[in-house]
Amino acid sequence: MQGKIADFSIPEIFQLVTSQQKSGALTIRGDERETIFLFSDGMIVDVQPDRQKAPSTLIGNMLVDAGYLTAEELRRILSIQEKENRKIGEILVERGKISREKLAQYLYLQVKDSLYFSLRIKEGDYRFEVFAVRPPTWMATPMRGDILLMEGMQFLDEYAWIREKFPPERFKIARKLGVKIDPMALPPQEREVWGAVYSSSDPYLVFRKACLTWHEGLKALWGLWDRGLVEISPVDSETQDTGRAVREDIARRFSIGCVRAAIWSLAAIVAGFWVYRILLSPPASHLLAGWAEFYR
Amino acid sequence: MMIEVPSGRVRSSPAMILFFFLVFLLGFPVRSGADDLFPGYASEVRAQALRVVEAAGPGKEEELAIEVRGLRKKMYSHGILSVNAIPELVFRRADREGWKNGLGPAFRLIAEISPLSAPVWAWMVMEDIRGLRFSDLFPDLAGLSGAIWRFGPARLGYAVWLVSFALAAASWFVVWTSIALFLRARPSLELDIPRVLRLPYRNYLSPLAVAVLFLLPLFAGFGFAVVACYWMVLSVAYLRRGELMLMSIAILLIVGIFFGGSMLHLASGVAGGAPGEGYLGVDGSIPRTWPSESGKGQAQGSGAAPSWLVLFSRARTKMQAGDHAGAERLWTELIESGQDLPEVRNNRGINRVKQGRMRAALSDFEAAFVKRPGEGAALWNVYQGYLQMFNLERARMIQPLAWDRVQKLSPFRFRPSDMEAGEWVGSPLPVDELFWETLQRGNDLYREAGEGEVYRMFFRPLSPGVALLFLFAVWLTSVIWRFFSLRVWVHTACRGCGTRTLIVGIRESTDFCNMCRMQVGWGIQEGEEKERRIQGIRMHRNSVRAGSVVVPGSGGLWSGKEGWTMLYVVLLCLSLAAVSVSIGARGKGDILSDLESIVARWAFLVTGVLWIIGAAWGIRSFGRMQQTLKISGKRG
Repeated sequence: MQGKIADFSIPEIFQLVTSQQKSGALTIRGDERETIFLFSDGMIVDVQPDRQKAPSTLIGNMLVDAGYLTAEELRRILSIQEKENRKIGEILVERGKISREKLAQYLYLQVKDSLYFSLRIKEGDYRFEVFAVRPPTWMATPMRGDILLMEGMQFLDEYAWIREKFPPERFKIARKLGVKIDPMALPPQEREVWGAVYSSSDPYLVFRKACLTWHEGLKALWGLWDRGLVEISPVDSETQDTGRAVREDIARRFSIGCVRAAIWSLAAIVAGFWVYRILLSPPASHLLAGWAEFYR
Repeated sequence: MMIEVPSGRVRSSPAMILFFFLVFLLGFPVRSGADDLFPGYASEVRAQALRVVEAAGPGKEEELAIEVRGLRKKMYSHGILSVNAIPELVFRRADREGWKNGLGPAFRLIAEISPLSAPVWAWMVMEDIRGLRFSDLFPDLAGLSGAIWRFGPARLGYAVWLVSFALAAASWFVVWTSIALFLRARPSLELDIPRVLRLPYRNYLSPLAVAVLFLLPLFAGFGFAVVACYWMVLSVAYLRRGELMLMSIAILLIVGIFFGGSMLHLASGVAGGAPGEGYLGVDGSIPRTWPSESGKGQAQGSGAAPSWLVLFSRARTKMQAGDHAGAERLWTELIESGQDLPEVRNNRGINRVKQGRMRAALSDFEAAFVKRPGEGAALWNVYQGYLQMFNLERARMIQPLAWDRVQKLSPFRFRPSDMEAGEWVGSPLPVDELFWETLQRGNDLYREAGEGEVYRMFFRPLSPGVALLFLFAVWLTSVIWRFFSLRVWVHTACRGCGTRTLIVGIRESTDFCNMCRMQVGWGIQEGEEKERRIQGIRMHRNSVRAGSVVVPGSGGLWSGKEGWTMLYVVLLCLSLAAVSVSIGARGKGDILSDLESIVARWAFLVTGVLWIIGAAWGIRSFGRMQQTLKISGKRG
């Protein structure tokens, strides 16, 4: 089964596959990326995000952003993966880098992230290939496509409204100083975000640490902000514009270059005078021309 | 009562003395002038020499030739070999009267009476080259080399010129090397020195700090050798193998400068304190001053003139002045003191002839000939002696050999056919003996090194005893610092783009940054990062270009062509040395000044051309190296 998204929308495709409890791979192409969802009896059991265009949704990078792995560890794990041709999650669990439960949470997050993104695609195409898919071992409770779909639709509806609450540009978050609160009194997602705020001021990294999608994280953050627990402020344009820092560095280096040129020009004049004095001045040339006196 | 009548004779006596004195002066004007111009020679020689000077002029060659022939005869009769003042006086006249360019024919005639004047021969060589007269060039070159070989001041002057030239060339090489190597190390030093000194505001203060370090010894007033060593030690950690070799050569040359300066100092001492007028030049001009008597008998110490040579000169002076009895006494004193040389015997023979003791003279001539059978002067005098004693049989036997030998005495252009009227050939100061004696004073080279002017200019504030130790310490420090620098963190500057990287184990393999080694050209990133790399490369290129203009050829070091750079620097330093040794010899208004003005002009020209070539080559070779790294002049 294949066709254009404009003719048959993503929610409709998901509904069809889920309701008919199909097994196979649904490939969605749009917005210059390709995402593959694997279904087993109508349940979403795995996702393969676009490696080139959406590297941040790869499980390894998600765990690095969440602080469970360093970049170097990820490189080593990927090289092992390449040699042994195994799933990255299996290797991480096997090596004790992450628990099976935590891995399941992040795989779940990966599926949700990919699905939420796919739901926003308006133009593109899809293809569903039917074949038997066995649920992976990590999946304790399979993800029901219809429930994810409903959450996704809700994300689409609410996103614009929630985003308006925050500064339009990039922003940063921080715990408000002097605030004391029992985290257990907060709703679960807000509690996760409250706990993760200490790790970074970048909301994206905080949400990754809290194992929440962008939409879920914003919603929880709005709750914390509304309670007066966190402060939100726009990121300085100086730090936001990385090119500006380089341009300033170029200007600074130019001014240093001018200073250097002036200093060394002066030094060259002094050294030139010194060389003249030791080898060409009248006393020096008289010394070196002492031979002429023998002919006079 | 007696009335005293004043005597008119007594009253008029002062006026009478004044009158006779004026009459005396008016009666001998030529003699008085000749006294000033040719002091010390016999009166007839002085008078004739003055006539020669007056006879010289454009188109007056025939008149001059007659006067020259007359002077030659008078000179030979007193054993005078050369009157070097004549060409100088003629030159000054020509310069004053504006016919200096027509001096060639006059000098060709005057060379017969001033054969020991090297400037005259050099002038004729110059004229030959200018007029492309190759038939005259080689005889004139032979005359020049003969004058340098046989005339004490000329030979010593030539030796001093060689030492001065080598010293100047070595100095220029050391200056070039030390500055060029410092400039090579400058980018790295600008980061390492503030890092070590923990300077604030490093970006702006680091160029200033390094420039201050560069100029510090200059303002401290250190000698040039000390300054050069300081620069080289500072830069040694960042140099390549070829550059380290340049540095080692420079240190060795400083050692050479140390001994060269000592040689110059010793040479002035050997010459008797006044090279132009001292005892050494007695065969060209009678000395007005003599080495102090304290030097007598202490010839082996402190570079003073050997006393027996001074005595030889005194005897030659008396001989040329016509005091033959006095001269003979000095010759005899020399022989009795162990200096029984053929020259002494030959000259004593001439004095004996002039006193009418022909047989005694002949025995001296024969003794001189026996001591050195190749001695042309003694053989000629033996021949003349036989002629004078009418022993024609013997004279006829040795005539061919005597004529042949005397004709070959360079630079004297003796013409035996014109010398049949009792002309005697004297022996000049034995310059070879002087050189042997000087060479035997090898120890003085080190002992006297600190006394010379060169030492004071080049090695202050070091004391003479520690100068060589200092140079050894510099070399050792360089080696130790070089090896130590392999174990510590230092900055290396990429030769291609100037990117500076803090690394440990600096080596030639780290000469290029990774970007240049991968030949990625301007850079692999887009946007501002790329602009920053372009800016870095351009600044580096500009600094190398500026350095190559100020220190020509230094661009060759950046492009890794140390061998070619060294060859170029040698050529440049030779031409600069020619400038250094010639500019100081100008401006005295004599023949040599005129010749040296020409040499200085050419040396300046050659230096200028070499400078431009070096700057262009340095820039070009560096540009080519950047092209191989794909850092072309174009963006992209």
